[in-house]
Order: sequence, then C-alpha cells, then structure tokens
Amino acid sequence: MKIILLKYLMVWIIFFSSGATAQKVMDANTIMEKMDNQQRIVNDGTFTQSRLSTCRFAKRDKKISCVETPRIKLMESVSKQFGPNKKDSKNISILLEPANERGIGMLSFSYDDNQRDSESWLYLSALGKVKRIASGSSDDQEPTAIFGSEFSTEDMESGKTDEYRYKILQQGLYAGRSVWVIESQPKPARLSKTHYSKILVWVDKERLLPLKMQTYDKRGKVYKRLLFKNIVNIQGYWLARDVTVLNLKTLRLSNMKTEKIALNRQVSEQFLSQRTLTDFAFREKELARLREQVQ
Amino acid sequence: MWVKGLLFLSVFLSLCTYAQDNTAEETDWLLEDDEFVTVIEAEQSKPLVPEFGEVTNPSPWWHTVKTTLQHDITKARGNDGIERSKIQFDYEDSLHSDLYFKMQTNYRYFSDRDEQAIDKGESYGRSKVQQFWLQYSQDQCAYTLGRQTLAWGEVDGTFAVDVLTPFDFTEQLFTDYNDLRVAQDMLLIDCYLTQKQVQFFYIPTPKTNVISHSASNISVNASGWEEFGMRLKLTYPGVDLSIMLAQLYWNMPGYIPSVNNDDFQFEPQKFDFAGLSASFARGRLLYKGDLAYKSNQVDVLSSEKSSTAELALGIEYTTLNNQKLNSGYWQIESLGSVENDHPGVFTLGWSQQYFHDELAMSLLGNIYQQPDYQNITFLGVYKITDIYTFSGAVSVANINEEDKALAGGLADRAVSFSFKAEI
Repeated sequence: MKIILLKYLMVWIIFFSSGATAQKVMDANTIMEKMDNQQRIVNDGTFTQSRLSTCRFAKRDKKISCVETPRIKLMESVSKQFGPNKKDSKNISILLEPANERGIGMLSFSYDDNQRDSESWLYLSALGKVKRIASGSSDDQEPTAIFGSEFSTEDMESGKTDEYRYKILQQGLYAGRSVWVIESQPKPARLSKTHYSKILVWVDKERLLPLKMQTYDKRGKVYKRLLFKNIVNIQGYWLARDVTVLNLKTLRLSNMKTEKIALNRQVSEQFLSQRTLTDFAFREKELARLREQVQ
Repeated sequence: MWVKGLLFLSVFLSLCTYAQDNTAEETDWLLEDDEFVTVIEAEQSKPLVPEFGEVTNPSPWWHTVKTTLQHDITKARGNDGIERSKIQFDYEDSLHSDLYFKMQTNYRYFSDRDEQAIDKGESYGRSKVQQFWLQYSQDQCAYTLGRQTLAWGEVDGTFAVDVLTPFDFTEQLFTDYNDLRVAQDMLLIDCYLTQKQVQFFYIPTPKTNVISHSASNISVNASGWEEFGMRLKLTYPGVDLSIMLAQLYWNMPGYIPSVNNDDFQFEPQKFDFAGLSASFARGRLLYKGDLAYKSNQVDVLSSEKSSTAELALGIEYTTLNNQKLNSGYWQIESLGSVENDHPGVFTLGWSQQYFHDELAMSLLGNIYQQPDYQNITFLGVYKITDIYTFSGAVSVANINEEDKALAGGLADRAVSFSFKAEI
C-alpha cells in the first residue's frame, strides 16, 4: 500500500515540480522560435488570395461592427523562402480590387541580414513601367501600414525573435484551447524601431499558433488587439484564415481573410522576378496553375 | 514519516511553481474569453471559407471590366479653361494559357467652355483607343502586338531617354498619366533571362505629339517612317542598368516648318538614339540617371540642328514617416560645330499619404531656364470611397518668356478639379 501511495506521490511531484511537465518543457524563447519557424515554412512556396477589409468600428451588444462601408482590397500573393536557413523571402503581390488599383503589382525581396537592404519593384499600370523603390533594410524601417490598413509591417514580420525577450506570463485554457500567454518585450536595440513597448501572445500549445495578440504603446496602454479565427490544418500546418486587428486608439479595424491558399507549391525563380510584373500571359499561366491547387 | 516529508515537499514545489508562473490576481484575466464577436458588416453575404478546390478563376470575366466616369474642370487666368467629361472602359484578361488581352477605350465630350472646343468653334465628342494589345508568352519570351505605350528611362519628369511614346498635350496634366501619352501600334518582344531582360520594339508608323484637336490642317507625311530599337536591362542587387539603341523620329515635327507645299506638310526628321539608364538603391535613397546621345536634334529657339548629349540625374528619398521627396536635373549639350546654350531643367517633388492612404498630397515644381519659366503644382487626391475619387490642384507659373507659347501654353494661375467614379 505504501509503495503504491509512494508511486502516486512521485508521479504527482514530478508532474507539478516540473511546472506541469509538458508546459515547462519548452521555455518562452523556444516556443516563439518554433512558431516563427513554422511561419517561415508556411510562407515557402505559398499562394494566397486575401481580402483585406478596413473600417471604423463600434461596440454594440457585445458585437464589434463596422460603422461605415469597409474599404476592401482583394489581392493575390505568392511567397517563397530562400537563402541560409530559408530566412530570406521573396514575395509578389497583385491587387485585384478595388477597380482603381487593379493591376498594381509589387515584387519584394527581404533579407534576414539586417545590414542588407530590402529590394522592391512596383509596376505602375498607368505608365506601363517597372520602378525600383528604395525601402532601406528591414532594420532601417519604421513600421508602416499595409495598404492603408491597421496591419503594420511589424504585425506581419517574422524572423526577429532574437530582438525580443520572452516570458511565460500564464498558461491554461483560453477560448477552449490550452495556451501559453507569452510576453515579448523589445530589447533596447529594437525599441527604437517598434511602436510597441510590449506584446502579449496567446499561443495554442498544441498547434503552436497565436490565438490572440495584444500590443501596448510606449506609455504601456493597450494599442492593438489581434484575433486569429478560422484555424485550419493544411498539409500538417495550422494557420488562421481570418485575422482581425482592432486599433483601440483610432477605433478602426482591419480584417484579413485568406480566401484561397495553396502551400508548399513549386514556384519558379522566374516567377518571383520582374518578368511577372510585365509579362501578364506568363503571370496568369503560373497563377492559374497555383489557383488550381487552392485549399 | 517519510511519506509526510514527501507530501510536504510536493506541496512546497507545487506552490513554488504556481508562484513562479505569476500571481494569479495579476494574470488571471489573460485567460478570460473575449466577450465580443467581430462582424464585418459588408462581408456577411460572403462565405468565410470557400469550398475546397473552389473555382480556379478569381472572378468572372465581367469583373475584369472597369468602367470610369470622369468630369474635369480647370479655370485658368489668361487662358481658356477645361470642361470635359469622359467615359472609359478597361478590359484585361487571360484568353488562353499563353495569351493575354488588354483594351482601354474612352469617349470624351468637350463642352463649349473647353479650350479645345473654343479652338474648334463648337462642342464635340471624341473617342480614343488607348490600349488594344494581345500578348503571347512562350518559354523565355513575351510577344506583345497592338496599341500600347512604352516608357524607357528612370528620371521622372525629364525626357533624355523617355522619348519613345509621344505626348498628348490636349489632356489635363494631372489626372491620369496614361492619358498623357499617345499610344502607338507596336510589336514588342521581351525575353527574360536570369537577371537580364532583352527588349525589341518595332513601330511601322510612328505618331507624333498631339498639340490640338483643331489643327487638322497640319498633317504629317508618315509614309516610309518606321521606328525600331532594343534595350538590354540588367538587374543586380540594389542596381538596375539599361542600355538602349534605337532609330526614332522626332515627336515634334512641327518645330522645323520645312514646308514643301501649301498644305503645310511637315517632313519627318529621323535620328539615332543611344541611351544608358541606371537606378541604384542605397538605404532610403534611390539614385537615378539617364544618359542619351541623339543625332539630328533641333534647338527650340534657334532652329539649328546638331547632335546632342543629354544627362538627367535624379534622387528620391523616403523619410521615416514615408514622405517621398524627389529631385531631378536635365541638361542638354550640343555636339559638333553648333554651339547652342542649353541651360538645365530642375524638377522638385514631394508626396505623402494621409488618413490611411485615403488622401494623397503632392507638390511638383519645375524650373526651366530656357525657355524661362517656373511653375509649381499642388495636388490633392481624395478617395471618398473605393469607387469615388476627387482631385483638386492649384498651379502657379512665373513665365518670363516673351513668347508664352514656348512655355507650353501654361497659365499664370490655374485651379483644377476632377471627379471620378471607377467600378
């Protein structure tokens, strides 16, 4: 009897003293790095068609709703990772809607090496001309809004995990899922390049995916809240097809719906080149192939 | 006894872990569910997630037709103004896996208060096919045949290299850059190799600048004209470099009135063109340069002809808060025995987006030393919705030139408005 009791006690001690075992197996840094790594894998050879809606919002009857007709942009994007450890990325985006911006295309190369400038080219449909843009290195840039939305470049970027300090604040059930709540604070070198003093991330333990993020301004007040919904498993990778950002200062929200997605597709180097901005027949042939594989 | 010890130890360790994971009072709220749901009202009718393997085409064909309704007004001091309306249709789509088609056509009505209608003596309508081309892409090359525009060169607002597509000076200057160019019937071949693009063009019957709709009595004898040329574009990290060679005709044949007979027929003037263009990005700075050699050029003031070397340099800077500043300089030098004085042209520009890109403001200044004038235009474009756009511009010019026609018919003061709906 004593031996049985001892066994139960030992199990109980091991379970709790290790910080609930599995929950403490990974520290905050490891969790964020794994999440970041998964994001890079998802971005490698990926085709998406996304609808980006932006409006002013109000809260009524426990509902957050647009109080004006949302501005809607529909775009198709193809991205691919390359370089050492696949930490560099190439991306091409083409706007399909609204009508007055249809056909605008942008090609961007970004590099993990902070000293290396990003490269971007814009196709100006009114002039029929490709124009290089000087955007500086990713480290040189102040975060900017994406297509005038509430999403900023720093809300979407990956590969900067070494520029933050991470700490697990809490763990338990959130929205029916077992989560870690991780606080990330920018290191001094990062602080001048971010609008946020800290970010809280609710990480789904099983899926290694954020369910919610909350960012704080430099005065420590809540700035933006990002909600990740419609989480699906595609080819073994979990991703949110519906992301909403609420800017609590401007009372504007932006919602990004991934309407179509194809992961791990073969994307030629030539497709992620200036050719795609001007050779429309080539571009449409390649996009049609990718559209056929959407999930 | 040892069981009690173990129990004590386990409880102690559990408490330590609990304390280490943060105080419950401070962080319990983190696990509370959000009490609200988010609704994007305008999208309720759309499915959140499409069916697996849904349609492969992003939209039905009629979604690729864009219709534009536009009304432009310009009030100018010392000049006739502009008052005209436009309806335009744009259609582009893939016709087959290797074929792409684009068309842009418009009809414009010039009211009796419009400068063009005043010149003509009556209000009138005019239709134009601005783009009508078919593109076939196979292996490394794309072949584009039909009416299109082609712009070479890097430095905006200067025309050392950007001389292939003529201008339509009857258009209001600030509304749509595409309208400002006279599209030409052309065969364009682009071949893409790794970090290289080779481009060939052939224009069997080139067009010239359009100055006025009423000047129908001045015709250009275009028989025997043909323009052709090639460009090699090289792309390196941070640098784009282009080398260009072409045989061209003047876009302004009227400058030399070599009249052969009474019907004012102007002779075409051929010239050889060689150009070099580069853009170089360094941090937030973009350096741009165009260098050109042109044979058989005519000086605007003296009407003397000579070969010229032209240099345009430009710089663009994007500030931390995304203000865009640019400046350019264009210098023409005559080569050979003719010594013409060609002071330079300066351009200055600024632009910034406000209110989540709904308002775009820009400022553009030009300083011409010969002919002697300066002008500045302040432009605001406000997207009222995704469909409606309102533009307003104020232009001020200081024209010191006695012959004001040399300043391109610029008004001392002008205010312009444009309202556009695009669906």
